[in-house]
Amino acid sequence: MKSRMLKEEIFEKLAETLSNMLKIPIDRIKMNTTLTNELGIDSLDFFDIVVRISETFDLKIGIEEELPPLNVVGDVVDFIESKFLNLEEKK
Amino acid sequence: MRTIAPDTTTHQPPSKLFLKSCDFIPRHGNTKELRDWIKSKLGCEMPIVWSTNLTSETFKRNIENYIGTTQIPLGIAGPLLMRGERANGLYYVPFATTEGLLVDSYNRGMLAISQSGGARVSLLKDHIDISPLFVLKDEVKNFSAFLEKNIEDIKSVVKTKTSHGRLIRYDLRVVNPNHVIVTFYYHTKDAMGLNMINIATDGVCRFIKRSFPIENYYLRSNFSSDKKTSYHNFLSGYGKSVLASVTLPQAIIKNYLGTTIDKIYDFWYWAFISSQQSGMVGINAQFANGLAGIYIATGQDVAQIVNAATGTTIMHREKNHINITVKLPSLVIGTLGGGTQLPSQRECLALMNCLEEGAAQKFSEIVAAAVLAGEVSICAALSAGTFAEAHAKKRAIR
Repeated sequence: MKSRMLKEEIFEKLAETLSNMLKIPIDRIKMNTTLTNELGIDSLDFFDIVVRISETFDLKIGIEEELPPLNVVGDVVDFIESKFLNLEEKK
Repeated sequence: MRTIAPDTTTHQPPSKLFLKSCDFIPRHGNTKELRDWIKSKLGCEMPIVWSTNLTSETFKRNIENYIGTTQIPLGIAGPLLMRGERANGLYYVPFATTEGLLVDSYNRGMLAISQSGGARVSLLKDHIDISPLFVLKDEVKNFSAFLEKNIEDIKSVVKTKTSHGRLIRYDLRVVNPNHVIVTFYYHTKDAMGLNMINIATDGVCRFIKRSFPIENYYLRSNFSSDKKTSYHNFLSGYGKSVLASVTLPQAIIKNYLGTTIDKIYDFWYWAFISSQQSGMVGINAQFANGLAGIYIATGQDVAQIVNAATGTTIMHREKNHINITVKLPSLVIGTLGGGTQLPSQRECLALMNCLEEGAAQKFSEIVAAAVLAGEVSICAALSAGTFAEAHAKKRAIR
């Protein structure tokens, strides 16, 4: 059973995931850090990130699901939070 | 070093031979003698080329005047989800290239294909041909009847020349009343098979010359267009003819490729029209890029890219997805013989589990799907307007 996570918890887990994946210090990752310019994430990384989010947070991201604009780390946190909210509404 | 200015004023040959004995490469010397000759003759040392631990013995069937090896960086792309008849599951593909962003480009396409459910691949044909031209002393109809009557003997001649190659069929093309091109089609198992069919067909031609009144024959008339682009091969196929296709949902295109179905389709349409305006044979975006990378990595005959890259990319759009298909009519590749026997090239084939008997057809499916990945990626980048930006970023890396 998935329980809703606090925004801070989501950020911490996401920062750890990004830090491991991108091989960068975790303190470089803030809510307002830009994904492309500051973290150097490209379209190839993006495939990986989405799968890691799905695995880390145990969330299903469908093949037909269009993602919202994700420019900064906070956008990703919001996206994950919205997925949890959707799950709660469906319960 | 002597230099010679081009003489455009006369076609008179010189009064004496130009070359001196010291100009000749010491072909019968060993690698050390060749390197010493380079040092003394050209005043040049090649420490990187000469640093290889591979000796001429390794390459004795692959190169003459061996002096060392050149380094080509090798990258890996994937996963590529295959839904082929022979290749099924996740594959990782090696590319040897010096072109920055090539591996990334193919990688991106492979990920998009994989997340969309994989590449569906079909091998349509598998034969390679050779087309000797015969100069007849008799009428064409008698020559045709002779071939028909003696086809079993001709197949027997082939069997004495090769244990791998099998003559499938032949056809005739009359050039004029006494010049005829005969195209012999072979299945060559896992080998690319060019040497094999040269030797086998030379045996066939000698048999024909002994048995039918012909003036002469030319083993390779060039009709087969080996290592040349021709409409004949584009339409009829040469080597393996393979189709690979993927259906990309709108969400995958938008989320990961940064474009839309309509943008990617419109780009393809207008690029197709523009290619047609140029008279291009086989309309595609970058078949040759991926083929070159895989061919070099796996020890293929690189010149066969001229044939293999003559293929077509076709798109079909629906409301929520786009179907992208590549057709490679003339994919000339193998997993046995030639450069595929070399150590690092075999490692690259092993990476794709393409060393076992019968692997050449599976390998052709993987190559076709990789080529499809390149088309997906570059068409997406060009439709989104991010192609030049990515290259500029790469060039800025110091």
